[in-house]
This record gives sequence, structure tokens and C-alpha cells, in this order.
Amino acid sequence: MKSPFSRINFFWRISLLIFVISTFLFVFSLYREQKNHQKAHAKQTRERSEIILEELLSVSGQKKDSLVHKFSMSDWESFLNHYLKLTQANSAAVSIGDSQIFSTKKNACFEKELLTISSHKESIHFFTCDRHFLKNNAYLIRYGLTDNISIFACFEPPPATRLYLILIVISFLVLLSLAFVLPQLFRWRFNKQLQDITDVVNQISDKDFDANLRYDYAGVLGNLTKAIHKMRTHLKEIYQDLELRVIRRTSEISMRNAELRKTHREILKQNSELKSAYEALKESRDKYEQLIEHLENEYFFYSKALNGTLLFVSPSVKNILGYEVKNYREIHDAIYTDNPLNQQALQYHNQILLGHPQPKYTIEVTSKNNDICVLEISEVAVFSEEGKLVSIQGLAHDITEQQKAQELIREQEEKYRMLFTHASDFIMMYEVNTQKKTVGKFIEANHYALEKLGYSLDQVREMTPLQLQAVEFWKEEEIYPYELALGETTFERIWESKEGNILDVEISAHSFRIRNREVVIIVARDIKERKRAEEEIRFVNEELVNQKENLEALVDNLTQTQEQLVQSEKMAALGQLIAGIAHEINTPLGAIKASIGNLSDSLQTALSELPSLFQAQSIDDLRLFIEIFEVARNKKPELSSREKRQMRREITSRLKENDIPNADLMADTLVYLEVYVDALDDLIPSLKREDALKVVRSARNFISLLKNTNTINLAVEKATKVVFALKKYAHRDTMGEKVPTDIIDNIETVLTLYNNQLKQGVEIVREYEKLPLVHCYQDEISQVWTNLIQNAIQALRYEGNLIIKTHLQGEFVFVSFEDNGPGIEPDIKDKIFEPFFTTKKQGEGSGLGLDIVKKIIEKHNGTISVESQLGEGAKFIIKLPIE
Amino acid sequence: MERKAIICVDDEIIILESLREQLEKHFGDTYLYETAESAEEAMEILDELDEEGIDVAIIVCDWLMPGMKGDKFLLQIDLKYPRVVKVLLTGQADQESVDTLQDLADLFTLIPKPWNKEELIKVIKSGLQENE
Repeated sequence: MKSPFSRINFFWRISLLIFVISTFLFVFSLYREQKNHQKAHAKQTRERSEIILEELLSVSGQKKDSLVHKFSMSDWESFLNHYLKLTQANSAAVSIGDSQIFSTKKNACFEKELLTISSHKESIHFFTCDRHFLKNNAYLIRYGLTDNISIFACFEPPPATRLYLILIVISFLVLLSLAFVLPQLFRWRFNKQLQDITDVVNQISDKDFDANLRYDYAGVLGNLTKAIHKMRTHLKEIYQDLELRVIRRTSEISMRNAELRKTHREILKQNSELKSAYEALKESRDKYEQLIEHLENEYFFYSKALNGTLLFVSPSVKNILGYEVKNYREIHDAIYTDNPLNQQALQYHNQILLGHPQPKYTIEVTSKNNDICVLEISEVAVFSEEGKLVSIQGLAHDITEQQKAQELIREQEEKYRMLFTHASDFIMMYEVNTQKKTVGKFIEANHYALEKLGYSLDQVREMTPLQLQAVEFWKEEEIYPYELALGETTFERIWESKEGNILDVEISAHSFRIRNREVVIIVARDIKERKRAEEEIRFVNEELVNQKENLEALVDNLTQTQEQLVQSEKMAALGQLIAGIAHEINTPLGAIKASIGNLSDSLQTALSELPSLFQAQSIDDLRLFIEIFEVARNKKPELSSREKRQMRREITSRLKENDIPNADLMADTLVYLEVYVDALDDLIPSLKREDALKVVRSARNFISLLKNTNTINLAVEKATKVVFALKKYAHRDTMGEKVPTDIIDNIETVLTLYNNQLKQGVEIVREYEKLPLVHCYQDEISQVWTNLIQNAIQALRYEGNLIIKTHLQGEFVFVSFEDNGPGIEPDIKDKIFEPFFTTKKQGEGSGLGLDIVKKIIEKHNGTISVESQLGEGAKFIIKLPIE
Repeated sequence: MERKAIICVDDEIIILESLREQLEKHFGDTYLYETAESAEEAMEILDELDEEGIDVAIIVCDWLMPGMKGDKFLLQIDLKYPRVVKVLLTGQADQESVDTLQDLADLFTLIPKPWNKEELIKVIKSGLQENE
């Protein structure tokens, strides 16, 4: 319900709003009226001013345009005073252009406004005017007298207008405060009355039904108090009735309570008894739970209706087959495998469904994981009290693992049985009596044993091991195999078969216990065959020994052959050398032979010419002869054939210049005599003589003796060098011991021998570092250089460079042979040191060269390696220890 | 009449000297004797003599020399100066090269080192006849 205050409030606010609006309208109309009054006043003032001005002008006799020039300051003062009187303006001023030239009254506000307004650039024409409102409702009027002369007049409104405004504002404020305070007052009073009523109601609720209630409230509150009073009377009656009832009820309850207390005591007693019973039960349940838990992994229970539907399945089916109960109900008929076992099981099952008890049977089903499970089923028929067949109950036992284990055992048994039956050894078992220490009868024997011995199994079972032994081979100490049989032993026996065949057997015996009986198993083998085989092996062995000896002889032979091959390789290299060396020696020999012929010829001629030289020639001829001879005998630098030819040409031309006859023949002879241009000048006069040529030629015969002798010397030296190298090369270290060797000298010897091959186009670059004497097998090491140089020459095809380096590093000397031939193919690089490997044409090389080199180097505890870049040559590096 | 030339080619000076003297002693001033230490030099001499208008009657040449070898040199001579009689004087020559030379270069004969003076003279003489 709406509070009565809110309505009061509403009326108040509405009336207030109306009041405010009317006040505003009133003020606005007042303002408008005042404005209109001002306008009218201004109009009036302007009109009056115009008249006054006209009057003034006419009085002074001036024209408007000349006002500025003709009016003095006092004129303007009298003009404005006059103007003020007439217009009742508060103050007035006149301005020409921007500057104020005169004003009637000092008024700060007016002054300031005048400046602002007179600075307006807009031009004011004569008798036009405009207004400007100032503070305190004052306003300013400007008149334009001429283009640049303005008159300002300030008017102030009457003070009454202002009083009105103040009154209005005060009344407005009073009304506003009344609007807020009055409702507040009403509210306060209402609250007070309401509180009084509330107090009374509270007293009633505290069962003070006689509290003082005022009935003089008006309106709503009056109604309320009446209603409260009515309620109070009613309540009072109810309360009294209730009190009566409570007293009655309380006495009943206290009686009831006593009874309950008694019952509670009894219950507590029973409860403690129950608790102990529960404990006992819980304990036994835990035990059974464990049991069931265990059983649940192997068993599940079920009951079936007679129509085959499953009535119940224990949840443990999940543990065994992996199916949930619900799931199993649906598919239990569909998980049988196609094992024939299940056909039989079905028959049993059907019989039980008819009420005939059946033994346990086995089924095979597929589990959820598609594993095969074998279940042992026990089923019983359940009958009602009337003896009617109701359902069957079944217990399924998972025997998959058992089945598997059994199968494994069966398999193994089968294996051993196979072994036992089909072994081609005698396998037999007999009992021994450990107490009496006697050997009992055979229990078992395999096919092989029976076949070989010629007895049947039954016959053998009537025999002891002793009875098998051949009588004629009985030896006292061998009769009793009991002791032997107790350990694991092997012994030999001679047995006799039923037909009288003698069997030579080797027996392995092993004893063990079966069900408290001591049993010995023997495995016997007919060793006749083995003995024969042993015989054969012995024979073969001898053969082998013989063959081995033969092979060793062959190896010796081969070694010899290899040595021979190595030797022949060496000889081949030597042969090739010799061919070259032949030339090396033939050259000096040829020279010697020719020179000797020349010598004897020259000597003969000289001797034959000698007398004529001394007899017939003039003294001048003799002098020439001696001069020539002297010059010729002097040693001069050896000239090459080219230089000699050059020299001959020079001498010829010189001789021709001097008109010497037979210049060319003379020059020829002079060159031979080694009489060269520098010695010629002295001889020219003598050479001009008639017989000069003859004299010179006589001298030549003598010089020829010298020259040829010299040639022979040179040739002999040359030959000696080769022969010496050959001798050094062929030198054999008789003791086969290492000798201190000058490696460089050794290499040089080989180079000498190869000179004629090398000079065809192989340039030897020697980069020798001084080396100490190296201990080595001299002739073998020179073989190394020979083979490497030979290889290099062949690789270079007689043209290219061969760099030979020696280098000392620590305890080792390094010798390298580097050619710039075609290099070695990478794929054969590893093979080049193998024997019989060659890239040369058949007949050019044996393929042993580098093998020999490697062997020799290894014999010296050194190493040889090769570096090669195809197309850039090959470098063989040898490392030899000094000692 | 202009003298013809005999050229000896050998890398060994001792051979050249003794050979030349031998020839000189025997044939005297009838011929002009030139010696060359290599095939290349011999070729120069041949060209020079050709310019001077001197015929070369015979060349006595070693086989095994540094640079151009005797066989190759004689083959070149045969191409350029086919009239020159070519004699090989050598201490060692393989038969194959000799056969090739006789087939291709019209090799007159081969004299082995060391040589007999008489044999040499005989060969030269018959060679000279061949040349004429």
C-alpha cells in the first residue's frame, strides 16, 4: 500500500512546480517590460537628441560638416551639458575618430566601455545609433554625427526594478524550503503514532493482553487500532484454551518418557550383543571372500532354465572368459569352438536337461580375447518339492592351464618315448636292491636292444644283466655291475645274443629312484663299428701325415722356386742392365779403338813427314810449326761441336780477309789444333806463306797423337766408371751380414748403370740430404733402388723427371723416388706390392719387382709406401732404420 | 767442284772426335766433315749446308741419344733429304727399330760399336757410291 506521505509529497511537488513556472513567467514578463521600456526610452531619447542637435546647430549657425573644425573644447562642453539636461542621460561623451575628445563625467565603467565601443571600426553615419548594455542594467547609446564624430550617452534604469527582482528570489527560496521541511514534519508525526501502536502490539505478543491502546487516531491509523483490538480479544481466548491443553499433554508425555527410557536400556543391551555377533560374522565373511575371490579366478556358477536360457551367471565369468554377465547371457551359446569335444558335451548336457545325472564333462569355448578356454562343467538338475524338474545348476571350472600343462607333459613323454623306442642304442632298465645289494631283473628295453639281442620283452624281463654277458668272456671282477651301476659310469662289456652273436658294447649306466625302487638305466652301444672306425681314422691319419710331409716338401720346393723366381727376377733386371751397360762400355771402346787407329796413322804420317819437315822446310816454316805447336799444346776450354763450327766460320772469314789461300781447309785444321781466333793475329803473317797449310797439317799429326791419347784416357775413365759401378752392384756380401752402407753412393751406382737408359730423356733431380751410414744388406738394398728406378723409367716411358730425395729424421732415413709419369690407378694401388702383379706387357716384367722390394725393406725392419695421383705421377717412400 | 759433306752425329764427344779423325785421315780433303752432338744440331747443320748449296753425302748417326733418338732423326732426314745416305753407328739398338728404319728410312747399313776402321771405310765408300 502506498504511504500517505507519498501522496502528500506528490501534491506538494506539483504545486511547487506550478509555482516555480509561474514565478519564472512573471520574472520573464517583468524583464520584457523593462526592455520595452528601455527601447521606448531610447527611441524617445534619439528623437529628442535629433531635435536638440538640430536646434543646437541652428543656434550656432554651423553646418554639420564643419563641426569638427569650428567647435572648440568649450563649445563641446556647453553642447554636451545642454544635451544632458535635455535627455536626462546620466553622462555623455563625444569622440572624433578613435580618440575621445570630451566627456562630461568621470565614470570608470563608462570610460572603459566608451573606449571599447569607440574602437569599433564600423563607421556610424549621421543619426544612426546603436545600443550597448552595461552593468547594473545601464546602457549606452552612440550617435553618429558625421562620418567620424560620435556622441555617446549613458542611461541608468530606475532602482525600483532591482527591488522587484530581489523580492521574487527571496519568496522563491522560502517556498523551496517549505516544500522540503513540511513533508518531513508530517512524516515525523506519523512515525511517532505508528511507534505507539507497535509498542502496544509488542506488549500483546508478550501475552500482556491488557495494554493501553489509544483509539483517537484518524484515518488509516484509526482503522488499524480497531483491528488490533479485535485481534487482541480473540488471542486472549485461544491462549487460555491452549494453556489448559498443554498441562494435560505434559503429564501424558512424562509417563510415556519413563516407558521409553526403559526400552532404550534394553535396546542398548541388545545392540552390544549384535555388535559382537557382527564382528564374528564379518571375520568369517572376509575368509569366505578370500576363498571366493580365489575361486572366482577359476570358477563361475550358473543356473539354466529347461529351455536353455540362462537364469543366473556369477560375475566371475568375467575373470575367466572376459565377458560381462549381460554379455555372456546373450552369446553363451555361440562361443563354442568346432572341437569334437563340444559335440559330446552337448549330449551330456541334453541328458541333464532331461533330469539324468551325468559325470563332469569338458567344453572348449572362445574367450573375449579370442583365446581358447577349456572349461570343466559339473551340472546338476534341480527338482521342486513336488519332484518336478525345475532347472539345472552348473559350475564351470577353467582348466585351460591344466590342460596345457598336461599336453606339455604328454608331448615330452612322447618325445622321450620316441627317443627310447627308436634310439639306435641299447636302452634298458633294471632294478637293484640296495639293501641286499643285488641286481634285479630288467624292467624295460627298447626295440633296438630287443632286436639285437634277439629276445622278446617278456623274455628280457625274466633276465638280469648278468645273464646277457657272453660266458667265454666272463671275468670274475666284471660279473657284478651293481657297484658300477650306482654311480654314473661308463664301462665296456661283451654280450651274447640269443642267437649267440657276440656284441662288443660300451655301457653308460645311471641310477635313479622311482617310487622307492632303485632303478638303473643303461645305454649300451655296439662299439664294434666304432673300433673299426677308429682303425680307419688311424689309417687316414697316417695318410694325412704322409700327405702333410709331401705338402711340406712341396712348400719347400715352392719356396725354392720362389727364391729362384726372385733370383731370376734379379737376373732379368741385371740382364736388362747388362744390355744397357754394353752400350755404355761399347761407346768408350769404339772411341778407344778408333783413337788407337788414328794414333798409329798419325804417328806413321808424322814420322814419315818428320825428316822432310826438318830438311826441306825453311827456318820460317819451322818457326810456324813451333808456334802452332805451342799454341796447340796449351790447354784450352773444351768447345762443343756447335762452338767449334762457329769458331771455324770466324777463322775462315778472318783468313779470307787476309787473302790466305785454302782458307776453309786451313780453318778446319786450325780448329782441330785448337788454334782459335785470339791466337790468330800473331800467326796471320806466317800463314800467308805458300807452304803454310802443309806446315800446319804436319803439326796436326803430332797434336793428333796428344788428342787421341786424351780421348783414349777419357774413354777408359768412362768405361772404368761403368765397370766399377757394375762391380759394386754385383758385389755379394759373402757373410750375409749387414754392413754400414752409404745409401747415396749406393743409389748413384745404380744410376750410373742406368745412365744410358736415363739419358734418353729422364732427368734425374737429386735432392740429397747428408745421411749417416746405414746398416743394411748392401746388394739387396741396391736391388731395391734398381727395381724402383727401373719401374720409374718404365712408367715415364724414358721421358720425364725422377726426383730422388734422401732425408734423415731421428733414427730413420727416408728415401723417396718420385716420377711425373701417369701414376697408379687407385684400384690397383693396394695390389702393386703383391707378387706376380704387373701392369707391364708379358715378358716385360715378372711382377715380382715390388714384392721383392717390399720383402727386402721388411727384412731391414723398414717400410715402403706409395703416394700417387692419377696423371701426376707416383712417389715411393722408403723408411729405413739406421741400425 | 764443291765438296760434299759427311756428318757424324753422336752424343759422346770422344766418339765424334775419333770418328771424324778417322774419316778425315782416310778421305782427306775430298769431303767436308761436320760433327753434331745431337740430332737437333745435325738438323741445323743440314739446313745450313743446304742453304750454302753443299750436298750432304752421308750421315753417320748414333741411335741412343738424349733428345731425338737416331731412328726418329733418320726418318726425318729421309723425308727432307732423301738422297742422303744414312748409316747407323750404335752400341745397342733393338732389332725392331732397325727393321723399321730399313723399311721406312732407307737405312743404308748399321755398324755396331766398337767398329772396325776397315769395315767403316768400306761401308762409307759403298754409301758414297750409292750417293753418286
